[in-house]
Amino acid sequence: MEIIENNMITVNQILGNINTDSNLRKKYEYMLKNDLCEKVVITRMESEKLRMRKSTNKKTDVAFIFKHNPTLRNDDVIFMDDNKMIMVTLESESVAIITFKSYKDNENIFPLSVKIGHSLGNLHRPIKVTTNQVIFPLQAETELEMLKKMFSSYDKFLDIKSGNMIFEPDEGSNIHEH
Amino acid sequence: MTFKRIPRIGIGGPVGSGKTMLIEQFVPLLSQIGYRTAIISNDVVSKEDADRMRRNLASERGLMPESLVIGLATGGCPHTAVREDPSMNLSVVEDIESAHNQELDLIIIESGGDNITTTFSPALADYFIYIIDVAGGDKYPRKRGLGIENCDLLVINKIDLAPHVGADLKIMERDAKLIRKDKPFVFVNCKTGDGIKEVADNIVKDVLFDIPPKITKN
Repeated sequence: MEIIENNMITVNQILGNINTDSNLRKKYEYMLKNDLCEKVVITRMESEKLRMRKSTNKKTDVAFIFKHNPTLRNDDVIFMDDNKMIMVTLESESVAIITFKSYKDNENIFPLSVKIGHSLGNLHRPIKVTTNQVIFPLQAETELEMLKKMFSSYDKFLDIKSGNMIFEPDEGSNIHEH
Repeated sequence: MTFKRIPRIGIGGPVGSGKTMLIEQFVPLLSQIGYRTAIISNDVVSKEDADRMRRNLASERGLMPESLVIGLATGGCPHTAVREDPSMNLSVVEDIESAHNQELDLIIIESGGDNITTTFSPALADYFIYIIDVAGGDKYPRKRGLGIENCDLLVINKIDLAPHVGADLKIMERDAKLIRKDKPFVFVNCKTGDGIKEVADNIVKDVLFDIPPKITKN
């Protein structure tokens, strides 16, 4: 990191994430207590950009210039000195959450999983998968109605609803949606 | 830290929305300040847009060498060449970066005309301008789509046609604000140049970071 013209801070690496780095977490708590933390808000699509200019919530001018795809994540620390810590905040967005209500000893689990995977593949969406859920961004609420209709015959096995969250796709499942 | 990568803008939008003419309008403004640009123009079959820009910007006005206006006939759906598999464009970009890193400030990549879900791979473009035109109706911004919602700058062209097609610019402005939240949008007329300075100003600020040109004018 360096300060360039116009007092702009240039960021070309991610220093770590406060949720996975205990030292950074301690430093963050100290900086937060002393009102030295700043946040730069970006969208999920911006999280992959190699070059962009943003302002923090305290109007610090930040230039991101990465050599390789950065995949910025929520709570990443991108700048830190004695007087300032700048972190990334990802904007929350609308998502669809498909939950398997019962997945143990369920003979529908395999065909249902394949069909959901097939549908989401056709939609070209990034996904996040948990033990019984698949989550993906919605481009319009009407997509939820479409999904419910498509899987209406599996109603007793599936719960399909929308939500709003900071969506971070699983590694390798982050395609460029359209 | 200095990288070899030259800042890149992607320009997308429907067929006939004014992508080529937008480039023809803002490149001279950037050139006046001293910024040197190269253009890669994608099209499905022909290289007509590249030929026109080469003639207008390079041959007639001398704003860049003719060799730095490159046409790519990509075949297939235009978005595939700028998003799913941008390798053809990346190959040209890397050639330009290798040969002209010392003097070029900006590479402009024009997509072939496409639909409202057009976006650019972040590996290819750092900044994405999406252009629509008033003649498509004042419903356009609120119809959303990834291009309109997520581009870095939304350009609404052909504002002079609004009264002729029954489009209300105030409605477009209201909807663009609602859909894009804090992200910028600009009304332009690429025939007259109205609004183009604002486009150039956004590029200088958000892509070139207000850093002076690599080489000052001769």
